[in-house]
Amino acid sequence: MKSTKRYEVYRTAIAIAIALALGYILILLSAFPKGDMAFFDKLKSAIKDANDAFRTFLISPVLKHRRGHWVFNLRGFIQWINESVPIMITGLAVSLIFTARHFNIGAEGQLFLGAAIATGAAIYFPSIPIITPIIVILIASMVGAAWSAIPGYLKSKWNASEVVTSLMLNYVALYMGLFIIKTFLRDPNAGQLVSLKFSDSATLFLLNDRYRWHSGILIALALSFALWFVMKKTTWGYKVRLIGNNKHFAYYSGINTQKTFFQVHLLSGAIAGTAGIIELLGYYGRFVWLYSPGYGWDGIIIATLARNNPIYVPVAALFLSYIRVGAKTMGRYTNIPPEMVAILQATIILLVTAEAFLSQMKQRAIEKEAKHTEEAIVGGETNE
Amino acid sequence: MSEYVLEMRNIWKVYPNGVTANKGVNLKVKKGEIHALLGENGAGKSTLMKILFGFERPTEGEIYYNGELVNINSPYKAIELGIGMVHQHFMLVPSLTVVENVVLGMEPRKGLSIDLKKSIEFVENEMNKYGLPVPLKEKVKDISVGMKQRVEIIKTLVRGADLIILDEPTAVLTPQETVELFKALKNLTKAGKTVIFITHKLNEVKEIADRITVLRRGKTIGEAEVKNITEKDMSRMMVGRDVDIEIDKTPAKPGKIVLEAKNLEYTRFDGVKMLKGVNLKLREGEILGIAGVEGNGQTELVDIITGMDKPENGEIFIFGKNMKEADNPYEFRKIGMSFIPADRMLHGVSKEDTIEENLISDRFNRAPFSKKGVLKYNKITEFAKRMIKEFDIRTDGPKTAVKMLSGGNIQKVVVAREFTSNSKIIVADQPTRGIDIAAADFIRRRLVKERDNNVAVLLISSDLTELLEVSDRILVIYHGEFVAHFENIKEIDEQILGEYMLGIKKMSKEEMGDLI
Ligand SMILES: Nc1ncnc2c1ncn2[C@@H]1O[C@H](COP(=O)(O)OP(=O)(O)O)[C@@H](O)[C@H]1O
Ligand SMILES: [Mg+2]
Repeated sequence: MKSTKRYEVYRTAIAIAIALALGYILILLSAFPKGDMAFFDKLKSAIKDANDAFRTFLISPVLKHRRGHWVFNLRGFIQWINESVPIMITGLAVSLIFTARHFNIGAEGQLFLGAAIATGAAIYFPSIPIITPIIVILIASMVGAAWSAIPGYLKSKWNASEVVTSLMLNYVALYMGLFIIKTFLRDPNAGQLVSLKFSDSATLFLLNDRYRWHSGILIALALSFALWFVMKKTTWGYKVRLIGNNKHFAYYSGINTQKTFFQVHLLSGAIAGTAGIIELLGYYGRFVWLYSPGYGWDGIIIATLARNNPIYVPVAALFLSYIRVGAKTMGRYTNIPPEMVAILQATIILLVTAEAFLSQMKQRAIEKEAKHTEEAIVGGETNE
Repeated sequence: MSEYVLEMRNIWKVYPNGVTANKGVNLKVKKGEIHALLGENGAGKSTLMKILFGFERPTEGEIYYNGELVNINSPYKAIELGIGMVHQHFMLVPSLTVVENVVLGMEPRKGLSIDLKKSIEFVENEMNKYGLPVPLKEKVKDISVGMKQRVEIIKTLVRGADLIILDEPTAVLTPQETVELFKALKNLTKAGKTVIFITHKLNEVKEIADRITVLRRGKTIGEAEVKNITEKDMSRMMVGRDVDIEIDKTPAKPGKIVLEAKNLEYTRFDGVKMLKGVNLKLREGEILGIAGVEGNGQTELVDIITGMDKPENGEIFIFGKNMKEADNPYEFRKIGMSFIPADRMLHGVSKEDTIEENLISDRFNRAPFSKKGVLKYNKITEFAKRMIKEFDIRTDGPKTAVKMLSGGNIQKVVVAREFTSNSKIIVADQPTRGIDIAAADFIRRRLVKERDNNVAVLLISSDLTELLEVSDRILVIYHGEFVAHFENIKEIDEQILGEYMLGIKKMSKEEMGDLI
C-alpha cells in the first residue's frame, strides 16, 4: 500500500502547486495597467508587478527587503504564528468530531460563546498569576463542551441531524455572546463595542513584547500532541476511531456507541471553546469581536487538509495562516486585493479534497501494485 | 462462423481496491448448451459475468459474440446483443406486480399509463412458449424466492435474450425449487437458447450441464465435457488439490442448558410478524443447527439472542440469568457469548482498520491489550501474529487493513476473534457463506472442536449440506416458527429438510419433543 500513501502526498502537493499557479494568473490579471499602452508593454509591466506581488505573498511572513538585503521579518513571523493558534485549536476540535464521523460544525459558536462568558472571568476574577488564565480557559472550555453537548444530546436522543442543530446554535451563540458583552462587560470609555480590559495577570505570558508573540502557540502545540496521543494510543481513541469507521461493528463488539459519541461531542466542544479566549488573552487583552471571527470554519478546512490526524493539524494551520499573512502583506504593499487569498484558499481545498482528482493515476498505481503482489503470490504458490 | 456463440479471450479485471479478480480468463460457450462456470467463492465467476453483461469494464481482453468482436460497455448494449443476466441478488421492485416488473422500462402504453391488458398478453405468450408459469397479477413481495427467480428469467426472455446468465441460481433455492429450475433451463435450451450457469455445487453440474469451465483464483483451469469428467476431478480442478469434505465427528455429549429462549415475538418495522413465539434450548457440548429459507425469522432470532436487538415479547436466559435488563451486546459478551455475524462487512469487521485492531475489538479494555486506558501495541501485535498463524490468515502482517484481505481471510479474522474469547456459547450465523472451501472447512472443523471442549454452538446456515454435516440437532424455522426438530441427523437428508422449510410439512408439538 506504500504507493497509495505516496499519492496522497503527491495529490496534496500538486493541488497546492496548481492553486498557486492559478493565484499567480489572477494576480497577473489584476496587475494589468489601464490606459493606452501597447499590449506587449502592458503585459511586461503586469508581469513585473505580478512577480513582485507574488514574491511578497510567498515570502513576506519570514523575509523582508531592507536596504537591498533580505532580512528576517520578525513581525511577519510573529503574526504568522499568532494567527495559526486559534485555527489550530479549532482544527483539532473538528478533526476529533470528524474522526467519529459526526458532523457537529458548531466550533464557531462554541468558541464565541466560550470566549464571551470567560471574558467575564478574565475581567473580574481575582488576579493570581498563572492560576487565573488557567481558570479562565477552563471556563471557556466548559462552555464550549456544554454548547457542543446540545447537538450531541439531540442526536443520541432523537437522532436529530447534528449538522442542522449545531449550525443553528452558531447563530444563537453569536447573539448570546454579543448580548453578554454589550450588557454586562462593555467598556463604556472605548469608542467601539469592546469589553473592559482583562485583569493584568489574566493574560498569557508573551514570548516577544514588541509584536505581542503570545504563548498560545505552546498551548496549541501541546494540545495537538495530547490529542494525537489520545487518538492513537489510548483505548478511548481506539473506540472513537472504531465507531467512526464502522459504528455497527463497534456496537456489535460491545462498545457503548451512544456514550462514546456523546463524549466525543463534549471533548470536541471543550477544545473548540478555548480557541477564542486564548487569542483574546494572548493578543488583544479584551473581547474585541463584533461578529464571528470564522475560526470554526477554518477548523473544518484544517481538519480536512490534515486528514483528521491531530499531528498534521499544526502543519495545516501554519500553512493556512502563512498564505493569509502573505496575502495581507501583499495587499498592503501592492494594489492586489487581499480577496485574492480567499480564491486561492478555496482552490486549494477544492483540489485537495476532491477525491476524484488524480484518481486515474491512483488507480493505475493500484493496478501496478496488484499485479506485482500477484506475481509474488503466484511465485510462492509453487512451494505449497 | 465458429461453433461458439461466445468467446471471452484473455480477460483481466483489476478492481479499484486492487483485487485482481480475473487474470487472463478464457471462456468458450457453444450455441444451445448449458455451460457451467465452476469455481470456489472468490474465483472470479461473478466478475467475469458482470464483464460479459457490461456491468464492469475489463482491464484487458476481448469478447466475441456470434463470431464478432464486441464492445459491451453497458448492460443496455448486452441486452441489445441478446445477453440476459439473472443476478445473485434479485433486481425486482417488491411493491409492483409480477407483470409490472417484467415489462418495467419497456411497457406497452395506452396514453400516459401502462396498457395492462397488452402487457399481460405479451408476458403470458412468452411464459407459455418456454413453459415458465408465473403468477402475473401478484405482487413480487408475496411470491416465493423460486418464483422471483423465474420472474427474472422471464424478464431476460421478453427482452430478447438468447444467452442467459444465471449467477448461482440454486444458492437461494430449496431442493424442490432447484428441480423446477432445472426443468425450466432444459426447456430454454430446447427452444434454442444458450445458458451459462454459475455454481460451485458439483452434483448440480453433473445433473444439468453439458460442458464446464473451471476457474480458480481468477484463472481458467480447464474446460471439459461433463460426461467425460468425474465429480472428484472437478473438485480437484476447483480447489487445486484433493479435498476430503467429511469431518470426523464423535457423538455429542451435551450437558446442561446454557441458553434458553422463551416465547420470543418480534414484529418488523413494516408490520410483518417475524417471530411468533419461538422457544429454543441450547445445551453445552452440542451444535444446534437452524435450517430455513432466508427471511423466515432467522435474522431476528439471532439479533435477539445476541443482544443486538430486543424482542417484543418473551425472554432470554443465559446460564439461568434473565437478560431482560441487558440492552447492549456488551452484556451478552460479558456473560460468555461470542457471535459470528452473517454480514461480516457490516458487523464483523471495520474494514478501514488493521487486522490487529479488528482482532481486539471485544477485549481492548483488558490486560494485556491495555493498561490504565493506554493500548499496549506490542502486546496487541504479538497476539495478532499468533492469531494470523493459528487461523492461517493470508496477509502481509497484522498492520494490514482488513479491506485488503479476501472474503475468506476477512472471515478468518472474525472467527479468530470470536473463537478466542473464552466463550461458552458461540452463535454462528452463516459462518461459511461466500468463502473458499478450505476456509469453510477450517471453520466447520473448529466449530466441532469447540463443541468437544463443551462449548454450546448455535449454527444458522442456508447451506444444508453444512448443517447436516456439522449439527447434532436441527431445528427448521418457517414463517417465524419452528416447524420441525430432528435429534437424529443420520436419519434425514436435504429433501426432508426442504419439505419443512417450504412449509409443506409441519411437526406437532409432541413430535418435536421437550428440547424446544
Ligand atoms: N466490486 C468489487 N470491488 C472490489 N473487489 C471485488 C468486487 N467484486 C468482487 N470483488 C473481489 O473479486 C474477487 C472475485 O469475486 P467474484 O467475481 O464475486 O467471485 P465469485 O463470483 O467466483 O465468488 C473476490 O476477491 C472479491 O472480493
Ligand atoms: Mg459470485
